[in-house]
Amino acid sequence: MSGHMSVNTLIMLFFMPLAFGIGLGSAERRASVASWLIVLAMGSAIAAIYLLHEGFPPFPAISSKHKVAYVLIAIPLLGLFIDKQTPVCRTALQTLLGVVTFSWLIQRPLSAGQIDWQWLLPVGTIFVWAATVAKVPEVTGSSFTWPVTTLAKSITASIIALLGGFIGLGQVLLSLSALVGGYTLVVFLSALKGGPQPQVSPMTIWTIQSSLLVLLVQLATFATNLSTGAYLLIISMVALPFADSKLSRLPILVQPFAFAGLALVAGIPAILLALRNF
Amino acid sequence: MSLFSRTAIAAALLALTAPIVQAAEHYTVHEDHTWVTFSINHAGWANARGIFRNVSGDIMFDQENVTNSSVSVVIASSSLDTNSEQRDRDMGGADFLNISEFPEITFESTRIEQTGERTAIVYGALTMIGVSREVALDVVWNNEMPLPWDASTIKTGFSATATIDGTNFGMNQLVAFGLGPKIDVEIDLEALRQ
Repeated sequence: MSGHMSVNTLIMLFFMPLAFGIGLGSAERRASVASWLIVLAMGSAIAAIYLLHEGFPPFPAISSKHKVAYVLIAIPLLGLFIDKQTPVCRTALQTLLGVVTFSWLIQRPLSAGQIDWQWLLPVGTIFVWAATVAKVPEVTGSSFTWPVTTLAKSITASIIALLGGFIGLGQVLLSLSALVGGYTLVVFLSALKGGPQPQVSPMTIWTIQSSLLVLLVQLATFATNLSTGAYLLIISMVALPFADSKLSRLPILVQPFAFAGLALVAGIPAILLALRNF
Repeated sequence: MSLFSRTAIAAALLALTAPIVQAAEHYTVHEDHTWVTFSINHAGWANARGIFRNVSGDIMFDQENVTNSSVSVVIASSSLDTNSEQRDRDMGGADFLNISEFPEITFESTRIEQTGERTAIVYGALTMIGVSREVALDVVWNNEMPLPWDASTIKTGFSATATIDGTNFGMNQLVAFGLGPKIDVEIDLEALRQ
């Protein structure tokens, strides 16, 4: 009985999002599929992952978990709106999304007079996020800059959330990693075929990034046993796309591994710190 | 019916009901002598147990007409003790009690059904992590007497049990942990008459 449950959990947690990521990545490579449809599907998939793990929220939202669910549901709709926007506008909207989410999440403890120094972490995340996205647009020198660094952030955050006592969010981030992993795999397979750099849609990247930002803000605000050092290393990983100008000069098939290797420099110590704090 | 007659009947009814209302005595929960404990099955291995150490509240207790009584209790979520600091921290997190957003668990009785000379079912709204659900407490009134060293202080005592489903309050991760989700609650409470 428990064996069956484990397989079901594994399918729900990992294989379903992975397959969906591969499907969406493949659809994005086909010119016939409208990019807005991919954005809608990607954002909806992330929101669905969250709802699958945390349940459907009541209206109006009561707890921070419910609020995050509604923000994630809104992101694909915002993703459609940013299609014609400039990179500056997209960055501003993403930053605003982070600020509004954080303000909404802390509304209840703040109104009870609680102020937690740990809240500096989500504020720092939003700040570093904005600085990075402002400097390195979603489509840049390497097709792997955003998919691989996002995957690295998501995997590390998932482990840190699990070790930090935020099991539900850890599972959500694990499923998000599988989704982004599937998407990234398709980009890599496209590069294997040769030819020019495979294109990634800025709207899709924006949607994934925005969702991850919201989940990181939730993690940093509410994890009860969060390792500050480990989380600071995640913030340092947020700045990984700055390496794009250097790493995009490498041969295309080396680029994903170079980004992954760079991510490990921060990711492994982050996990070790979280383990020590566990 | 004349205005005078109606006024007279209303006054008579008021006179009849007034003593009943006054019969309910006010008690406050004696925090140091109150135990709100729970047990929850852990994957079939054993029943994990815990206690909330900070409990306060007020009881209006009418011994002549129990249904006229009421109870209001506040439990500090952060006072949870499950015999493991790490587990207490985890249980206080957003997956379970979500202490930072919801520091209190409250119970407000809505109606009381007397079932025996000293027993009753107290129905009320249990509010936990922002979600209110009706809960039925099987209550036994144990005893009431003055403190042996202070005859002017009257203490009364109750025991109560209830079963709740944690997932009804949004604690979906209980199932993922192989916990419950049924939670058996046991309350032993002493209260001082004011």
